[in-house]
Formats: sequence, C-alpha cells, structure tokens
Amino acid sequence: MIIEARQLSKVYRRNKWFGAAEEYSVFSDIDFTLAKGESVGLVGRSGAGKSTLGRILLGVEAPTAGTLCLQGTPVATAERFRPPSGELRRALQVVFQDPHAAVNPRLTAGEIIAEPLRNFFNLKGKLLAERIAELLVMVELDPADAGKHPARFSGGQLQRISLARALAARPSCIILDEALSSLDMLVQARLLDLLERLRQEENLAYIFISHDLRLVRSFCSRLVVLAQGRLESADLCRSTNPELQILQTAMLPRRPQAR
Amino acid sequence: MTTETENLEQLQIINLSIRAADKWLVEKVSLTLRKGRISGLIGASGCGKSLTCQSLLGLVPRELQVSGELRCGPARVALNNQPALCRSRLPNAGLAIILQNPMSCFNPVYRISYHFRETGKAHGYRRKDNCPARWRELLTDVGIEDPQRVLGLFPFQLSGGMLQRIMIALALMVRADYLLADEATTDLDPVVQAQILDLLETIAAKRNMGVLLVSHDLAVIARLASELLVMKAGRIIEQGTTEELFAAPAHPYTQALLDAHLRLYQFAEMG
Repeated sequence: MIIEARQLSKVYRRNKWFGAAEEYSVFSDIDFTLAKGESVGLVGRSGAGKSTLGRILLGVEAPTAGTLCLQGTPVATAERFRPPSGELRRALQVVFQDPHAAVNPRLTAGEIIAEPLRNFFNLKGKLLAERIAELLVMVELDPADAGKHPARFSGGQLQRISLARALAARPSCIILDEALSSLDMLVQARLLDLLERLRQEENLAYIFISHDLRLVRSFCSRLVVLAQGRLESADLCRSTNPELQILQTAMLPRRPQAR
Repeated sequence: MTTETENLEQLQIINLSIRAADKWLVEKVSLTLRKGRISGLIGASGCGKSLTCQSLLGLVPRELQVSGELRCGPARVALNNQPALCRSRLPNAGLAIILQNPMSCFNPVYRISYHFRETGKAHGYRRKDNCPARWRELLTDVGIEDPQRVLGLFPFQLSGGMLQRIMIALALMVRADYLLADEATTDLDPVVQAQILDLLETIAAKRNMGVLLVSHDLAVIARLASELLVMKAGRIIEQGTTEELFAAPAHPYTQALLDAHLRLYQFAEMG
C-alpha cells in the first residue's frame, strides 16, 4: 500500500481577537487506501475539500485527527505528526492546481526540473542536462525552453513543467490536483496517454483530483466522491451518488444541439 | 439601404495581424461577429486566441505591432494598441471582455458597488444612470438573488462564478453590443460553468448581443456556439457552422481536436 489513511479529520480554526475561535470542519472520519499502479479519481464540487485532502494524504499538512501511513511508515498517529522526509518525499509527488504559484519565478524551467534530480539522484553536468531535456520532451515541451523563466510560459506550459518536475523524482505516486484542466485537448489527450503508459510500465499510482467527469471516467479505475465532509466510493459509470448526478447533469454535450 | 442596416448588425474584423519583433503572433485573421449570435473560437494555448480578443479593445502590449481594421456599417477604424472604451471606436459596436480569472479583474480593496460606479463614470454616465437602483437591476438580470448584499461585498468574499456574473453585469451596464468571453468558464466547476453558459445564451438572445466565445474545450463550443473558427499558430485554419465542423472537419488539426474531444466521451455518458 502506498497510502493508508484511517479516520482522517480536518478542522480549520480561525482565532479571533475577542471571543471563542471559529471552527470549520472540512471533513471527518475519512478512510482511504491507494495501492501500487492504481489510479483513483477524487471528485467533488469546488470547496468540498479535495485539495485539502490531497495535501494531507501527501503528508505536507497535518490532519486534525486520524492516522496516516505512507509506504508503511507512520506519518500521522494519534500522538504526533512527522512530515515525511528523504525517500518518502521522493516517492510521493504532486502537481498543484495553480501552476504559477507552484514554481519559483526566479528559476528557469531547467533549474526547476533539476532540483529533484540533484537532490534525489545526485545528477550533475551532462547527465543532468540530458535528463532535463528528456523530461521536457516527455511533457511535450521544447528542450530549448529549459533556459526560460516561468513568466514566459503560459499556464498550461507551467503545468507541464510541474508534471516534469514530479516525474523527475521517479515517484511511486503522483497526486494530480486539477493538473490537466488548463491544457488544450490535444496535449491533454497525449499526457493522459503518457501517464497511463507510466502506470502500466512503472506501476505508478495516481490520485486524480478533478471535477471533470469526462477526464476521470476515461482515466481512472476507481472513483471516490467528497461531499459534505464525507468520502464515499462510487461506481465509475452507474452511480446513484447524488453529488455525481449533479455533476452528470451539468456535463456539457458531446455534439452541438440543433438550433 | 437594407445592406447598410444589415451591416450595422455585424462587426467585421479585417486582416488583423499582430507582430512581435521576430515573428507573427496573429496573421491576417478576419472574422465577423453578428448581433445575437454566438461564435466560437478554438485553438491550442498560445495560438493567439487571447491576443485576438485583446487587440479589439486595444489592450495588446505596447511592444507588439498591431494592424488591421474594424468595420461596422459604414464606419471603419484601424486597430492599434491604444486602449479604447466600449463605444468610442465604433458607435454601433460597443465591446466588452470577460476573462478566465474573474478574481484578477476586480480591485480587492474596493467593494463591488465601487466597481459599478467607476465603470459608469469612465463611460460618462450621469447620476441617474449610474445609481445603486440601476446596479441592482443589472445584478438581478445576471441571476444574482440578493443584489443589495452583493453590492456591499468585497471581491474576495465572492466565488468565481459570482464574480463572472458581475463581470457580465458590468458589460450589460455599458450596453456592450459584443461580448468577448475569453476562456470565461474554464476555471469554474462544471455546475457553475453550465450556469454561466446558460446565462450567456439568455443574454445573447434577450439583449441581441453578439458573443465571441473563446475556449480550448470543444464541449463548451458545442453547447453554445452556432458557428466555429479554428485557430492554429496565429491563423484561422477552418471555419463554418458548428454542426458542419463537428460532422465533417476538413483540416487535419480540427480532426485531431475532434477525435480528442470525442475520446473523452467514450466512457463519460454511461452514467
């Protein structure tokens, strides 16, 4: 198991100058497991807490209650929370929703991707440059782009740089937080193929956070829905889950309707 | 005379070209917007869709060279990179734009009411056309149920969908004849996206407004647009009615786009 979470809860507190602190419960009692080579879709309306759950499962944010084991190592227990380090850091990667906030604007694309390569694999010089070029080609960017700064890329291109950075660490799981949503359809389709290939060849697992049912259904093998603070597993295609049905109704048509 | 009035119902963009120092970003793009009609514009990221929209309002960065012409009836103006207000270019073709990230379109330190007052003032409206009663009316028109409360809120207290509705209300306030929706629903969740698309459809029909719907998602186009332009590397490579292009795409790029789109639906409609 890559991720094993039991009874996770998260409560955000807002301390006030006067009076009692305000508490806002995002979700409670969530059980979740992720095995090698699985791709799980995490679906919900905006504001449901999908990204918060993603950050907690990654071990970068502490749950308020519950236990979390990443690759067999306890990260959060009832007594303490210890953020993962070293090998665990490498094994779990993430592509965040906002690509502009996810990269250091003062580094070039090449330096952004070089960071995990240096930290985890000690690559240097020519080998490093080659691997960077290889990763850029993988995500359909031009190796010559390595010298450019983030300001010169579009949101979709930055998202692909973030994906290349995640892949650089050769992880066993990637959390994709709306990672393909701002890409145009051709690139999106090719990246889905790439991710699917990596899943089959290298047993990579994904948590695919999205509110696009089309993407989730064509990519994931299992579906969980986060709504009103509860996580429920749902059938990919024929589900009676009310939240899924709302999303289903809102789904845009495949072909133009007669006008 | 009939041709003249017909022409007043449409806005033509003729030979729009935008050039950076070393290459063409947009090359000889000609398109026609008609009042009450929704036209779709689709293309990859970085193909010049947004620049095309911005150039109509003169919002293209200074370092780029813009050439081309806008025509509405007998009136013609050359396109350049001088920002212009809604109606100052062509009296019968006021333009307004709504963008992908509505949060960045508002000033976070001012309330919504301030944005209405400022927009009205900039367009030279007198007091009686630029008062809270009028603003409330506009907000109701875009489906906001408690306009009084919304006017008193700050942008960060509102969701993306609400802010996008307010952007549309501002476009209605300046009586725009044409609305450029540049990826206006891309960042919204599907339920809100469907609502905003419904709203755009209603407004186009009710107010006889022409809409240029820019998107990278063919499903958005299929939902709303009656005609479609496909853009690649700064050029329009194919255009026609949406139904025609969905039924028989001629250009290999359009075919690939449509394949990718339909592939997404392989499993999607089983539910």
